[in-house]
Amino acid sequence: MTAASAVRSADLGFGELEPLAASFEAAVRAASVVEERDVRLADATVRLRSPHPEMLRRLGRAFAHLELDEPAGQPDLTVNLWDAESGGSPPPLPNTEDEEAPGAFFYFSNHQLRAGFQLGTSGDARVLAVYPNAPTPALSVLETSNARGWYWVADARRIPYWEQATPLVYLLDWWLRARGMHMLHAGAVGTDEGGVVLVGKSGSGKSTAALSSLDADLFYAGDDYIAVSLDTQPQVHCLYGSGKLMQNHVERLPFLLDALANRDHLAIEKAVVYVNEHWPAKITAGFPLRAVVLPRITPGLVEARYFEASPVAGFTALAPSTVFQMHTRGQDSLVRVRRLVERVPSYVLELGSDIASIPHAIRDLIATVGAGA
Amino acid sequence: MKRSGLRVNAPQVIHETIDGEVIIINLATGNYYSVKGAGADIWDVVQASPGADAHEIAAAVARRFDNPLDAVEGEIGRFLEELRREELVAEVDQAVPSTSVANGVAATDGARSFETPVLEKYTDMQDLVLLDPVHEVDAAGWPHARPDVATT
Repeated sequence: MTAASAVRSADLGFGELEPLAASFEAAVRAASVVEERDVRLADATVRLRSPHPEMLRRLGRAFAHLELDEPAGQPDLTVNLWDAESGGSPPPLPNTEDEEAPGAFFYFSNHQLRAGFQLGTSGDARVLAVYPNAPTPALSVLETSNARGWYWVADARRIPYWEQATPLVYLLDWWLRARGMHMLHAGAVGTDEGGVVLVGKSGSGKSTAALSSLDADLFYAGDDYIAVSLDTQPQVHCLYGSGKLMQNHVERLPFLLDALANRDHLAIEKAVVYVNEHWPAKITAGFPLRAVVLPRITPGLVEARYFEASPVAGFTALAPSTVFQMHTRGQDSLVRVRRLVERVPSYVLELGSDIASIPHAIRDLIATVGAGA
Repeated sequence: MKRSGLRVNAPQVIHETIDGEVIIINLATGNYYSVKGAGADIWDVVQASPGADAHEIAAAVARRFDNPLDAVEGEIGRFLEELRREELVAEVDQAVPSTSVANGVAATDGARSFETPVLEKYTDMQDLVLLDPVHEVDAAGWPHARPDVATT
């Protein structure tokens, strides 16, 4: 069975762990090698393992700032990464016969595991000629023990740029939730004393606001997905050392131009920058969360300014965006977001034409909230 | 007004109330909604009393306000119909006797006046659902092969 045909019918053994392990171990035997990278992620140790060095490099790049110098003794989570080209048989995949949308996501859980399958597209040259960024089929699995994860793709060469910039989103979201944390569709910047999450749908200005901090005295914890713990004092945890920016927003941050990872593909891709490679001193593992901030691009305004918003405004900016981006379909996601906006204040941050004023406004906001805490 | 029982259209609809405002998300369509005031009371009664019909819901809501039932039942019925059109509530398959429709706190001093309930609709997330449709499959339906598809 080829990887392309595998998604057209249900495979026996799907939803079971043994076939997954057998597929991965066959790939390891075929490659005669397995490489590992250990990272410190959200106060835990995660090991990425793969018989496919290039796949590990692609998916590990966004985590490089969290990489441990020495191997961890016993990681809290081990994620096995492989593809159909690694050797062995592909893992059992679901029946997706009635669905054609490449972005379609199939979710399943049982007593052993949670699984998500992204349909993607075949590697047919005719498809790729029309959709050069067509993603490869991808299977994410997290065991209910929370100790092992599995990530298989049909073709590691076709892992899309957005997956490389923010890898393993679904798997990590499940894992974080089991550990009392929550992955948010948000950016985050701050200081050692505290910081803010920047929330809103794509195009709202949260990446512009987050990446503008690289040219100022703020630390960067992400621009798209971050984790928060929901303790009495919520804590932001950095997951990815990358940033993505809409093409027409790049010119507003010219200092990024030389650092773009995909400057030759901006006609069809968002601009990607690996902050952990170009500004390693600006990356932080996290900070106490002081406020939820709603960036709002405001035509005619020059200097950025902020004003307090209602918890409902913070909730409405954060909850639908996170639910739809993360494919988290449970009521619990809304409950967690509500708890968050009830614990820290929400602010609207109006963004004007003076980009340099954005981090200053954020810094001032953090100080204001901190003074009132 | 059709006398059939209603329920929140879970699991495709999730909702949360914060500061008296209800945010409702329809995961299937990508739309989300805001409801305040009397609309939030109507939603509260619907979600707390699955199986109650429109008349019972209207009666429970009217008790929370300083208005007689016949003055508000029409507007409540229209609002429920809008909720149904948006697939936020669904009719129950079998009528459920709703002997204890949630009343909440009845108006005592006339402080709350009934205002026409409004369902504010936001569609800016629709694209995500259209481009990345989500299929949630239960253990019986997936991963087993469909009967008409040969398993390879």
